[in-house]
This record gives sequence, structure tokens and C-alpha cells, in this order.
Amino acid sequence: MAGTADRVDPIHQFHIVDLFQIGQIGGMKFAFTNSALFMLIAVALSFLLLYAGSAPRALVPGRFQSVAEEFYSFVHNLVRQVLGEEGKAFFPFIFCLFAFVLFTNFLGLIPYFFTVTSQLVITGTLALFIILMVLVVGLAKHGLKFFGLFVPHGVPIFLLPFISLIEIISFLARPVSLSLRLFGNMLAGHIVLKVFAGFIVSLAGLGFGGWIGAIGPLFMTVAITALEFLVAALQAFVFAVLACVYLKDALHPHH
Amino acid sequence: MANKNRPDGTGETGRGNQHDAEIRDDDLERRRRELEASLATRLPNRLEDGGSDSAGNVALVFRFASEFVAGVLVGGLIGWGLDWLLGSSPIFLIVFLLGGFGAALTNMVRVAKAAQAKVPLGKDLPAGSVDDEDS
Repeated sequence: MAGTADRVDPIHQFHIVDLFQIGQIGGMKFAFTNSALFMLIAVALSFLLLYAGSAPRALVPGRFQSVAEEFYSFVHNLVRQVLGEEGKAFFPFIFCLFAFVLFTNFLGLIPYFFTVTSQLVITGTLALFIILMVLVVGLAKHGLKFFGLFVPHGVPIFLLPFISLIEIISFLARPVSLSLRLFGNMLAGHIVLKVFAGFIVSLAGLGFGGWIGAIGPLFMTVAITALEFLVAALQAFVFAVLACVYLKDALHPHH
Repeated sequence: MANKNRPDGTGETGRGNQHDAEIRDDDLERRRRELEASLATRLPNRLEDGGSDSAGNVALVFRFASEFVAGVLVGGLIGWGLDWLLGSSPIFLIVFLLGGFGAALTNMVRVAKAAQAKVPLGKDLPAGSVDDEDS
């Protein structure tokens, strides 16, 4: 994505573009953006994979069914390991979360595609949703005892205010760290990728010596692309694991 | 012998046969566990030693970093907001910034503990390494 002349703008890929306007809400423009488009594509693809995978219902799975089954049982095992049998109710939620983040991360790696998870608004919304769910589930299941989460056992009484303050801040920091990590990983990875790819274009414009010199950045771009695939999968996994871990606190406030 | 449990060759799963409908939930659960247990002995441990140790470490590093940043950030923001509400300029900012620092460290220690529980101490040492206290 070379900008004007031979200057490459690594931030350009994160621009939100209105594709068409749907209407106005209270003077605010309400438009269908490229971000919304790729969210829709991610949802459609994950739906298609699972639908096409479960359609044959064969005893010996084919390729699609095998992928869909592995996908399902991977998340299923994760939820069961972290949350136990009573956490089964959260499996659909965690699965949707994991599928959405995984597909948007992977879609972002295709050239010219928009990376939805490189927007703090998206990751922040997901993280806030998780933490609100923890609060609602915790309060519904344990009532006010849920706030025992902030009062650890065996702490001397004169230390309790400080410890509680720290516990409350650490609880409030969870959605922030959750959203910052996914956002930061995707943003940084894509910028680095664009910068190295930009070196190739700039160097190649210098003539034959530049062509030789461009081999280094080309190698780096290939290597970073591979790394980004790893990061995309890993961060989706980490996001789902931490959602499970936080939900565990809602189920069992006394750790 | 086990004719009843064999597939009928149509490739269909689901409630095709009459006796399938009689399978109760706990029976299904038991059979699922047995299948998983037998699968676990045959399949290599993909998650445990899948060669993605360095990938896990990178993720761990990012967890430490984000945990630290988030703690201090949230503490500072709460303090700044309280000061802004109560007009008590730097007092709450200082207290909550320190509290946020403490929360960040607590979170990092928890992450480290969880990571250490997965890899028990000394497992990364070479086998048969000398133990100082015994010699």
C-alpha cells in the first residue's frame, strides 16, 4: 500500500472508511464502514466453516468436518479445563468470542484487508462485555458475597484497606490489559509488517544496488508474516483463556 | 460380538436407530470420557510439548507488559478522576498511582505463579543435574 510518490504510510491501513451511510442518529452519522464489513465477513466465514463442517454428519470426518470438529473440541476442552463442568453454560459465549477474534485476526493478515482487532474500540468493547458478564454472573450467583473477591483471607485487619484497594484496582485493570494486549499486538505487528514491506519498495526504487539491498527486508517481511500468523492465533487463544479465567472468578469468588 | 455398536455403513450419525434414543445422558458422558482417555494414550501430547515453547513465552511477555501498563494506567486514571471530582489536586492521584503500581505487581506475580504451576520448578534443568544441597 504505497502512498504518494515512494513514501509508504504504515498507518494508512487502519483508516476507517465509510462504505455507505445508513442514516443519522441524533445528528451523528451512522454508516456501514470497512470495519463493519470485515466483522460481517469474519462472522460469515466462521458460520460457513461450522455449517459446511457439520453438514455431512459423517462418522469418518472429511476435511471440513475435521477442521470444524477440532475447532469445536479445542474450545470445548479449554472451557472444561478452566471452568469445569458447571462452566458449560459459558461455552457458546467463549466459542463465539474465540471464533470472532481468530477470524478477524486471520482476515487482517490478507493483504488489503482491514484488521478489525487493531481498533481499540473493538477490543475494548469485547473486554468490557466480558467483565460486565463476570459482574452480572458473580452478583447473580453469589449476591453481595461476590465482593469477597476483594477481601483475601488471612490478611491482618490494618492491612485490609490497602489490600482491598489493590485488589479493586487489579480487578478494574483486567479489561484494560485484556483489550490493550490484543489491540497492541495486532497494531504493532501490522505496522512492523508495513514498514519492512515499505523498505522493499523504497530500496527497489534505487536501481540495481537497491534490488540487492531489498533482499534483507524481503526476508524479514516473510519471517514477520509467519510470526504474525502465530501471534494472530495465540492472541485469540489468550483472549479466550483469560475470558475463562475471569469467568472462573465469577463462579468461585474465593480463590 | 460388538455388532450393535458398529456403524451401519451409511455414514449417518444421530438418532437413526431405535436403541440410540435409549442412551441416557450419563451413559453418553461415560462413553465420551472413555473415548477421550483412549484417545489421549494414542495421540501425542499436542498442547503440552508441541514445540511452541517460545511462542508461549512471547505471549507471557506480552501478558506481563500489558498487566503492568493496565494496572498503573487504571490506578492513575481513578486517582485523577477523584481529584477532578473532589478538587483535591495531587493527593488521590499519588495514592491511586501507587495503588495501581501495587495492583500491577500483584497481577504480574499471579501470572508468574500460574505460569510456574504449568512448568514445575527444575523441569527445565537438564536431567541428572547436580543438586547443591546434597553434595
